[in-house]
Amino acid sequence: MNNLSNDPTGSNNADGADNHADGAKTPKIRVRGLSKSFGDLVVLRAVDLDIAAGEVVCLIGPSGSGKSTLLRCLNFLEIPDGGTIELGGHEVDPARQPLREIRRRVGMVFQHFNLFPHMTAAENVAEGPRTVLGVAKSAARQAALDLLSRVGLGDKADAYPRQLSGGQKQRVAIARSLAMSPEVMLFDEPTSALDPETVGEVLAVMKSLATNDGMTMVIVSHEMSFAREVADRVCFLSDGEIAEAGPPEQLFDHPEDERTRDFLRRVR
Amino acid sequence: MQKTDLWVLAALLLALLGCGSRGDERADQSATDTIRLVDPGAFTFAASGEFRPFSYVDQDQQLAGFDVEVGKALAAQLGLRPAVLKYKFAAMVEGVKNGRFDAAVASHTVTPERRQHVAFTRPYYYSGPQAFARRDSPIRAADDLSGKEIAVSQGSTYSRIAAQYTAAENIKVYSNDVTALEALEAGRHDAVITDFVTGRIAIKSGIEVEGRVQLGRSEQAIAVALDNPGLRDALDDALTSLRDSGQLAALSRKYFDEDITEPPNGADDSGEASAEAELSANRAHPIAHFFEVLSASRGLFLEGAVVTVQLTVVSILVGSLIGLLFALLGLSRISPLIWLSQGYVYLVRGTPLIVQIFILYFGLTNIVKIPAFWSAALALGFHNGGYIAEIFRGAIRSIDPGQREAGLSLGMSVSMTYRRVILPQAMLRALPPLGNQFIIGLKDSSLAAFISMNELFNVATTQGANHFDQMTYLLVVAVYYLVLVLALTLVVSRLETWLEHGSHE
Repeated sequence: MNNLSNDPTGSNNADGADNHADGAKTPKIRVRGLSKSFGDLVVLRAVDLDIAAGEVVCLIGPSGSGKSTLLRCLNFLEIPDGGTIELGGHEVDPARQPLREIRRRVGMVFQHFNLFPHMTAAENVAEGPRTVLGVAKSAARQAALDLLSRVGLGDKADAYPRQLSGGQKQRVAIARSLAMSPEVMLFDEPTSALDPETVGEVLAVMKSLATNDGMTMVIVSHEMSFAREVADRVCFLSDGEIAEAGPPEQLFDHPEDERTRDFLRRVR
Repeated sequence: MQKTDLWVLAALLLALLGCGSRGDERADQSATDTIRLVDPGAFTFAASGEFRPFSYVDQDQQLAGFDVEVGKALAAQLGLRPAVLKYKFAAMVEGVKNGRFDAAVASHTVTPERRQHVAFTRPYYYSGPQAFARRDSPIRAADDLSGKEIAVSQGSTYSRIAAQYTAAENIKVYSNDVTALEALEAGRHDAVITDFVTGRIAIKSGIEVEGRVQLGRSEQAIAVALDNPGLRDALDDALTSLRDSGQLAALSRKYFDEDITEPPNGADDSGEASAEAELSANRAHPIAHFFEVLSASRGLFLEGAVVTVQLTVVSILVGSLIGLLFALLGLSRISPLIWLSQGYVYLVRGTPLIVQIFILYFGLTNIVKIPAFWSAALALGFHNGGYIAEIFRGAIRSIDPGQREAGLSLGMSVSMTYRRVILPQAMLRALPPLGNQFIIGLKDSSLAAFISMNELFNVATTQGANHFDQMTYLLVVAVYYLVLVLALTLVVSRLETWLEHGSHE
């Protein structure tokens, strides 16, 4: 995936189009007291989380711990019950602000790709720029072809999703999100639906995004070795709370919380 | 004989089924010379039940009326048990001909055409066609009818009379006279031609029309099979007895407050010479006959097919639009909209299409007068829409919620997500059941016949009645429907291929 760094447009995704004051002290994302319940089930309990620009944060934890819900709250696919979310220093108020303006600044990659099956790979990638940003058809397609090349799928532009492997689909999905030039990328278990042999190609693209493009990334993942290698910080969630957070070496090698130790033992 | 092979076969089957229950009681029947009866011991006669006060269904669900009472009096005179059958007027001559019943006591006007198929007794009353119009109508004389839109009932002699004044496309055909008069009252058509007695009764019962031009005199008689002269002679004798005893006149006064059983102007009452000799000219083999009719009638049927296609196309378009709208309402999260959608679907699925068509055609005339075509097209569209709404709703719900999330996460609005992502996929899934609904819609357009639309089915039944040959014309119209359904199926499958260029995972 070296071509990712070779592409001059790559750096745009990191901090281009971002006029906000994101100096060292203002985090890219600031979450305070975030809570969410589904009926009687409390999923998030007053979560606080700061993510700096260019930081790569992995959310890990047992299933039901709330990590996916936390991620989905960050682009308001779930509307939080309480708490605040700031994006680039500005608080997002779902009642007063069209959510689509937030969502287009925050890319999302899904476990099951969610590619549009009635569109080719290039059409999938061009769809956001065309319909949301109003980019002309030919320009959107050219940009889509460039992005597909960056994720190593330059030759699959006119293939439909059903003609692609799982890994290829997920790379198209990443390109589709990148096409909106997001300030933050969210990944919801991006490799857990993949065949083992295609996991590597997706992780390589993500790693390149993190290291070569300096993309701010929040990743829900079970790939511990990837988290160790790429993440700046790992957050362990348990029971709707961030039980422990820290650099990967510290969290993986010297976990302090009993629940973290317990979880890591079982994942090993 | 050959011509009726199909009927004979059907009649045989029915007879086989029927025989078992009738048993042996017929054995000791003292068969009256040459009188053949469908059910020995009974005088089985048909009445339409749709021709008040000659023939109607009373509060006890029994057939009643002048015709029915005449039939019963005749049975008594013959010493037989009366057995009355309700039968569609348009098919009655054929019913007599094919031995479904002994006679039709149904106000049949004696005509040369009918005489080709059945024998008639002496007249039991006298009447004549009259043109009826709304009170504000300028129609006063026969000449005023020229070029006007005239409604008549199916299988009656009046369409021929109407044809003397106006072009074929201006003649609108209803299944019975009362519906035609009601349509006239509701502001449709310029005139109705029907029997003057019928018209007078309708006016008396509150239909606001007026009799204007008497268009002739007619004799009403009882129809008997050509090959049953014994029965006809017996009925003639019985009629004479009823007339002599004053019973016939009494029945007439009971229903009409006057005696319509006496020949007007002293017309000759005995002129019903035997017409058996003219027993239907040698007709071709049934299959050859079918193809003759298919070929000879193609002009009329093609016109009907055009109407059917127009009705179908409009109703499918209207139905699809309404269906999509109500599907989306049903999927919204706003309770009143969901109730509206559910209520609509319930209303459509809970009432027969024919009721919906009649309501639009008759019921709303006080508010808006919708032309017959649009009444039918809108009712069909409204009806199909209910089913199409459910098809769309199911198809949309079957799309993975992840698709919606993917659209939203790109920053699309909800409506954009529907338009670009969900609906294109839902359409593809909806297409097979939708094609099915379209075919149902095409065939359901035949119900427009009941509000006088001259579409395929109406052409078939009208021609079948005019030629006393329902079976052949129904087979012909079946061919037209099969061809149209085939064409529609091909269109839908082309649409499917076209939409599929993307297709699912």
